[in-house]
Amino acid sequence: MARARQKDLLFDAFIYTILFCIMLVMLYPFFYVLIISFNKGTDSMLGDIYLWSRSFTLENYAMFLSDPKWYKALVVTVMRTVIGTFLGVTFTCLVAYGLSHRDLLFGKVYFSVVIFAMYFSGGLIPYYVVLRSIGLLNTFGVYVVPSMLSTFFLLIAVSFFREIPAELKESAVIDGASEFKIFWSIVLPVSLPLLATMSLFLGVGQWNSWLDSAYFVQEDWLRTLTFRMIEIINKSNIPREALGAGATTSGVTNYSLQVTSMVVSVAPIVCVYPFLQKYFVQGIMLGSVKG
Amino acid sequence: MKAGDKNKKFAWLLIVLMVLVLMTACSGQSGDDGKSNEAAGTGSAGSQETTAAEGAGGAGDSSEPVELTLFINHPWYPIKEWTGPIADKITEKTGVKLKVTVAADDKQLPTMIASGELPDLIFTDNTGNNIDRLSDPNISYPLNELIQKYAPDFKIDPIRITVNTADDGNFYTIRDAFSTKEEWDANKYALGNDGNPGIAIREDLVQEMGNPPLKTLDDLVNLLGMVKEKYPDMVPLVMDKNWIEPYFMTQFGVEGGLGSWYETDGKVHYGLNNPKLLDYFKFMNNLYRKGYILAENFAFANDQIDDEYTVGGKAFMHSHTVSVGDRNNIAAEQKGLPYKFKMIPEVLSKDAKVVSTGIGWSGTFITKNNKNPEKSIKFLQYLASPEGLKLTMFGIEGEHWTWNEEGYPNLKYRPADSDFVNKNGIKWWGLLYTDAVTEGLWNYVPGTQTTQALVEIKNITEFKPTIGLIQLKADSKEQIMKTKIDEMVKNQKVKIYLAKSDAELMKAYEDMINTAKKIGMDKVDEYANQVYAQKKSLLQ
Repeated sequence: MARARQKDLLFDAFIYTILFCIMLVMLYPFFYVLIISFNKGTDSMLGDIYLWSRSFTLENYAMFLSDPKWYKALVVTVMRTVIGTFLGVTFTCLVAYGLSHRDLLFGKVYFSVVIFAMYFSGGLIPYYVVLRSIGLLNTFGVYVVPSMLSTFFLLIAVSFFREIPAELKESAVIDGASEFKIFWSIVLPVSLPLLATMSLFLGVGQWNSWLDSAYFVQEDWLRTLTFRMIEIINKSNIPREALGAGATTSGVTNYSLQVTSMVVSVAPIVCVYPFLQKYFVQGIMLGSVKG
Repeated sequence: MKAGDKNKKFAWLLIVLMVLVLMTACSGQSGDDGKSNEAAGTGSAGSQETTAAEGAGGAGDSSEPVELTLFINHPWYPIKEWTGPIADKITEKTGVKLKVTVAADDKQLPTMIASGELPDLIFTDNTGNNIDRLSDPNISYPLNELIQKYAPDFKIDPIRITVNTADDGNFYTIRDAFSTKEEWDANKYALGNDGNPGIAIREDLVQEMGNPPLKTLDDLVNLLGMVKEKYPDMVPLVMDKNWIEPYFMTQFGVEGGLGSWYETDGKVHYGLNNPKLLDYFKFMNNLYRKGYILAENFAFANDQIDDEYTVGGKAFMHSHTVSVGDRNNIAAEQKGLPYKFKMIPEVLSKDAKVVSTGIGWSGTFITKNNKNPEKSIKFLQYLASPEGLKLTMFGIEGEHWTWNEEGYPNLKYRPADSDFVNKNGIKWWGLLYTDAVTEGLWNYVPGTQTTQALVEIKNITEFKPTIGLIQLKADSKEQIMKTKIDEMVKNQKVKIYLAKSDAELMKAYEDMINTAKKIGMDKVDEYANQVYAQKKSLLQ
């Protein structure tokens, strides 16, 4: 008995050690980027920084955020994340609820279309032409309309809604509720894990998306935060041949700017993630296991 | 299904549709597909009211400048807004304002070309064959046509026209960073730019070692040996990952590097065929085997690592571009380091040779979507004029520079001060249409190590732009072969650099040559010679 417990302890210790090592390997790059972003760029070039900033400074952030463009970009990004996530979750759930009815007329056809669209895309150029022809180019709509239906989550949501006991819906029908009432008042409230997971994924997707801002928008006021970061990173990749004998006149280097932009882009998501993680695990699993 | 239910559903559907319509309609101007196919050449754009006060103080032919959209296909371009004294002056002189978009990555322009969504002007280099793609009468206006129609007094040097002529006999752009041999010869102060190799060494350590001579490659190897012995903790030579080859290849007379052509007896050959290449590899391998360079130098992940080694005091010799000495000194000064760097000579061997095959770098295209081709070609004409060249490359005369009677501008700022240069828009708007000589004069700053190195390089430079005209057609079988060869060489050459014995080096070298032949190097050469003969006759 005692020996068995000792074995367990050993085994646990071994597992925890491995997990701890994996955690270190995962977290250290984040930590390193963070300390470098608070370190004078010219000092970082000397190397040998591992655990904390050697020459603490805020000038990387000051330089990074010195432009009012950043605030405009932040507003646009927050707006697109909030509106895009809300529309994406709502619309995907609506469609999924319709498709979750097994007696839906032409249900198989709709499903085939969805599955086909999930695996095959037309590619960037046809997509661009479609956006242009429906007048979405250079509008805020280009950020939120194309992402309203997420096929991946549609499939998860369909199987999730099918797991909800039919009795719930039947009793509501007997009480005279309409389909929409059932969806709004009964199905959605019991689907919180699903909604949280979708919100997290779609929100992160919206926050990180930069390609639409780069390709489909020319108006300066519509640029997003991630696009501004790409700009900074691109600018710091200026070929030496084009620069002449350029040298930095401040303590900020290309590398320290790039690292700072990483921190700024990752920070908000890192802050939100821990609060949603429990839903996230639950949400992905639910609907995948037959009870 | 009750009627009420149906109505409710319908109402919801309507609401969703209305939200969608609102979403797409909100925000500024949508759906304007940019193609205002108005008859070319009408001065002012669109619906500007010309008030009765015509001719009162208005410069040129229209009081309001035309705003043209410009797409710059260089994601790193440092300035994005048409502001500052240089831009204002250009607008005053040409009546053109620019609305600038800088590419986010290299796929954006091909997407725009494919979907036909083009701005008025595009500024690009030939990476990804973009110059070839845009040199198409369906996409861009041939400049020769526009010059004939709107600017017959716009004269361009015939050689410059030839090197920019597309297969259909038209020229659609004039690339910057090109000058003819005559122009170079006529401007002794015009130098190359920072795209030339150079090596800097630690001045203090050289003095400590008693200033050993440094006039030949053997001297250089001896010096590295002394460093290895006296300062065992230091890396004798560290090289920027993009500048490993050029300096030493120049010393051995390997012109043009591995992925380009060189000429002997009127024929061109692919760089790998160069008989001097083996000597170069043996020299580099010798440096490695003696421990003067690091194996990981051939796998550096970014171009900052060499700077860290050097400025961090861990390396003695730093191979990079001609500005490496000046740049390291600025960095050392900022950090208050007690040592300085000095350049070593650009020529350490009698075989040293630089062949300039450049035909220019980036050029401006006037697209078929352009709303005012007349203003656009006159805009380029102004940039190409002596006044425009000096304004855009040096700044405003009197304020930013004065002309030195010797034949170069005395700048009142340091060209290396990129903050000042970018804020004023010096140089960057000039690149839309300029030439190598004007760019070179801007680089002439007496007394700097960079200038000294560029002078030394100019003395051993030969100009052969015809070789630069050997371009393989996009997606042709020759280009596919060349890509495969270059890809193979990239991996194989590291085996040669890091060979552990002479026998191993020879085997790796022969493998590389034989594999290249198997892939089709001779066929690529054959095709290159056809093109070369054709282009040579054009230039004559």
